[in-house]
Amino acid sequence: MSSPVLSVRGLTTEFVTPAGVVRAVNDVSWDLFPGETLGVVGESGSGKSVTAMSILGLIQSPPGRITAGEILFEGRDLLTMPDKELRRLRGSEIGMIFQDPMTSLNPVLTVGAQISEALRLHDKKMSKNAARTRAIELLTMVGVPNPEGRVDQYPHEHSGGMRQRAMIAMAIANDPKVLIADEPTTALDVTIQAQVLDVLKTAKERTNAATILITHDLGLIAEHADRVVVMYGGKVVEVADVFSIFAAPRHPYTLGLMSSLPRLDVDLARLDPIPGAPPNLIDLPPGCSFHPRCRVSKGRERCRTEVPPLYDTGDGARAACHFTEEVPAEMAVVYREMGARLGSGGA
Amino acid sequence: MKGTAAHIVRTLLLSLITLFGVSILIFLMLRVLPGDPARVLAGLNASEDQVARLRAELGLDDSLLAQYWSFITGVLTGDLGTSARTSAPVASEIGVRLPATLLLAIVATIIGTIAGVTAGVIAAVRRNSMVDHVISSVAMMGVSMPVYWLGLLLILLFAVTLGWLPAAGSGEPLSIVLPAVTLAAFSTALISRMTRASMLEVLGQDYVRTAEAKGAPPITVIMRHGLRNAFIPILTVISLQFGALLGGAVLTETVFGWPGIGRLLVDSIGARDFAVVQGIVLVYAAAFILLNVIVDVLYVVVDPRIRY
Repeated sequence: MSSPVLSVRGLTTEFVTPAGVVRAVNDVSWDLFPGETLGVVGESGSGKSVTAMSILGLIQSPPGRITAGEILFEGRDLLTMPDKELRRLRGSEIGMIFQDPMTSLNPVLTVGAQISEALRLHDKKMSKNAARTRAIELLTMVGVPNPEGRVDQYPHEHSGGMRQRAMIAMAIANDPKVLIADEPTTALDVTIQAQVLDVLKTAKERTNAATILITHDLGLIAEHADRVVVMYGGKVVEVADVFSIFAAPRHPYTLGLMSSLPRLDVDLARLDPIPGAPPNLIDLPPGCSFHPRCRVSKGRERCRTEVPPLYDTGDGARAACHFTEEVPAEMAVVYREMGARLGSGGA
Repeated sequence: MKGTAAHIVRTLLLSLITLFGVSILIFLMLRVLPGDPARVLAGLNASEDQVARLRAELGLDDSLLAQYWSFITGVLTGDLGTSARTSAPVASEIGVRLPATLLLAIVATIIGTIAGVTAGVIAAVRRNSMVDHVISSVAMMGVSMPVYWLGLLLILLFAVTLGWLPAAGSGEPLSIVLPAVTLAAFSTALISRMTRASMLEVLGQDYVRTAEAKGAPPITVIMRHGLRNAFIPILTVISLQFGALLGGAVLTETVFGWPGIGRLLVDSIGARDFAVVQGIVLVYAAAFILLNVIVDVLYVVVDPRIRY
């Protein structure tokens, strides 16, 4: 395997709040390889977005602070890099697409001006006219109809889907090596979601950028990701390729996510939601933070006292569970309970 | 832009009604004031006869309706009447002093805007830092310090002790510095508070984060993406302050002997010089309406979402 384009190593990001210190990202490590799409899944508050913000150095300080770890982009640590160099990478080598296109575009600048800005910030010699022409090209590429007219319009004259296309155009304007898409379709209508994802896919193929797709939508992961990182309570609990994650999850939390998801390939009588609520990050349960909700733990002492490391589960996959070898058997039990008749459903 | 032009025409037409109302109000208010203009004008030693003659001459014996009629028909034909005190046409009395007041208000507003916006932006960007606290304290002082007190202190320091600037009058170009700075103190404080609050809100917006993610340097993020979006409420405060400066510079004009319209107004009220007071109030009202129209247009320039 080639060397990773982006490596997160032991990243820990905290927020100081009146109620206490929130460790939103806790010793997170993963690699992103050239050309791949890495899916990052987890519930709200699991640390997905904070990880992305940490990569770009966009954690507001105070209250936020990165207390440990390194983020290596092509071997250079983004966390210790001077601001000026980091700014040169942002928007050129690393592009970012945010969740809510309604609020992520500047309302007083035309869409074209905002795309041109992304271009001209990183190519000081580019003329205004050249940037405008390129902005029109980019809008065409992301499927904005009538790009010559649209380029001079303001964001409030565009629909949500159109704005997210413009955001994508902005993010890929400088052919980034890494593209971070943070819940890119969550704020959009279901019908628009599919279109925008297609655009994202095309954009990714054109630029061949390694993509980090942050989402809580397992359907998106199944369709678009090559490998998956599952986060829970600020920690990575499982890393595996997308087929293994869906076919044979090795962490009870991942199993819980799968069995709470309606599926087309398995005919289910009912779903099996994960009991309880996501943990309070100020006051995480001791040991494995998932143990109060875990169906594999069965109240065992070790789950309550010992924080599980990421165990190697073979084929480059890892899972943070003391009893990861019991998960496949548990999966069979869960699916039997849910009344699955494997193979009797759709494709 | 077409809508904006129509909006301006509509506003100006409606403002005619406003001006008409203002003319009635000020006319009536002056008439209910205690004190007889003829007696004030005639002086302490005048005989009852002389006062009566003067009353007739000034038209004060006519009915209210007749007096108002002659006032408003005069205004409509461009004649604001004659000052009872100086016998000069009111229009020329105002014309002589208005430029001085305008100049003072404009210079003070420019100083207040530049200083206030700069201080507010710095306070917002460095919020809760030492700089922010210092700016907040100074702003608090600026809002609470009476202008005559601040004016006297400035005269004491810069004119008397240091001798750098003239203490009063308007004879030299530098004469405007002290009154303008004195007037600007309050505006600066107010504008800086508004800028800080507005900037803090805008800097937390998603599009500011987008700009940072694009690799924009802090100055671009703050000015191009931050301040421009934060500017609508700031613009409102600036325009309100400018309006207040036009009318409310009486104290400053008195302290610095500045030959502005504020002093003329106060003197004319004291002398019950009805024609001059009516004329000044009408000019103020017209100026405020014009100012509002200008600000409406500026809103459209600053924020493309605003359409009329």
